[in-house]
Amino acid sequence: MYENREVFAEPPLALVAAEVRYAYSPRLRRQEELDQIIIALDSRLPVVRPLQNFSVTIGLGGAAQGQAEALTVLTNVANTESLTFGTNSFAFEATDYVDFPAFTDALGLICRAVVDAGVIPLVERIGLRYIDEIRVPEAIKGPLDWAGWVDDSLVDQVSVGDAFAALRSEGLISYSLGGSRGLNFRFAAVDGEPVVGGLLRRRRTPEPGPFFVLDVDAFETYSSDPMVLSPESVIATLKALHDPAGVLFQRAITDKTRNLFRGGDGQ
Amino acid sequence: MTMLQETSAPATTTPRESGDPVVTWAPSVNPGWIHHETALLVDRAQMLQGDVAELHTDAKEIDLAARTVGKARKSVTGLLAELGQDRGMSWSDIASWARVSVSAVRKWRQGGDSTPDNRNRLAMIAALLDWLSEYMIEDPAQWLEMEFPLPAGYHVRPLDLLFAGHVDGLLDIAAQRESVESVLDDTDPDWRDTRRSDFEVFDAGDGHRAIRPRKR
Repeated sequence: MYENREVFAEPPLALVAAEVRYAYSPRLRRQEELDQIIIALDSRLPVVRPLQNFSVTIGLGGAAQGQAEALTVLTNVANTESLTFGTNSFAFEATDYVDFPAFTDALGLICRAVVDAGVIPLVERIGLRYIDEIRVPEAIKGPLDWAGWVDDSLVDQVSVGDAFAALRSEGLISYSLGGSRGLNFRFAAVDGEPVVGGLLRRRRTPEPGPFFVLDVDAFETYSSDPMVLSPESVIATLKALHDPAGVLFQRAITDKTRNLFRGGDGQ
Repeated sequence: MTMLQETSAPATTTPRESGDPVVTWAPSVNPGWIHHETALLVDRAQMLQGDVAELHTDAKEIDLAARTVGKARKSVTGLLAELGQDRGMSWSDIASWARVSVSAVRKWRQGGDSTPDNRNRLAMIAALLDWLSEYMIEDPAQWLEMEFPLPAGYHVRPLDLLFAGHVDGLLDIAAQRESVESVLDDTDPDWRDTRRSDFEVFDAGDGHRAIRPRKR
């Protein structure tokens, strides 16, 4: 449990995602295995959407190569949780995140369904990502107006060009969590469309406008120490990644925003 | 269980982020969110490509220059024997490359005077033929005279690139690093207009082939 941990009444959380990336698994191209997984998850994610995704690989010179990829997307009836899986990874996302145990329960269920279908690949990477979109009841005309709402260190970088009007401010910091674990923290003062969109229904659909994004992406890789997919190992990794992600979020916000997320007016 | 069929996949709106090894894939995230990073990577990749291409060109020039120095140890007579007799290069092509007449080449074969520049150019083409052989091109002298496989109406030979001074592009074609078209685009941007023949050969219907102006 990390310092200042708190469940807010009005959380800024837009999306929580966990991705398990694994070695190419041709069994996940076969309908028999896919059907087994879909049936096993039927009670939680009953809506099935097969779709073609298009991935773009950018090579030297900026030349982009496209490749079609067959994906299967399962969602719940409320359309607030989705599982997207292909032959190299699956991603579970939730826009109605309640708490971490409920989230890991879902991951355990998914891993169990995959393993029970006879698909037991070597895991290459597990990632846990929290994306917050902070909106405040105050006119935000530029990145500097976020002072007081987010930690000063996320705003102060603008001052390097204080002779000019800052229009957008963003940053990426990569941290090591020791061993093969790491954390990428992206942040930005944005004025525009929400970062989280797509298929899932959000608690509230925000209008385009100014908001501050906190994108905390904790991960572990297994290139040197292979791990076979199992519900227990995936959950154990997610638990290890959860606290650093929470710590960073708490350090990024202020008491003023905490008050706002508790349902106050942010004063 | 409900099955929904996506008739038009949201391909362009949800490109998979997982191609990026440092991002946990979340399909619901607008890919524009990390666009600034990919744009930076493209810029870096373009700069890297430019640097590598320059390095590659330098390396080829250094390699050919070193081989030329080695070949130049031979006399002009010895070089002509290698090019004409061993490699089978025509005297007219040798003369064109050396920028002299065929009769001048004939005189050299008989011990006539030549300049250091003549010797150097002969050494360079001998080095180039060695280089082509190492790239699995058998009978490289003949290969230089073959026409590149271009659309009808276009007649370009490796020798044409060589005589125009585009040794670098020629080596890339030989090594299959570049297509003929891309090298021509780089070295002669108007080649599609300037190198197209106005005439074509056709079957005249009397058992003979004839030539006629090409239809435009």
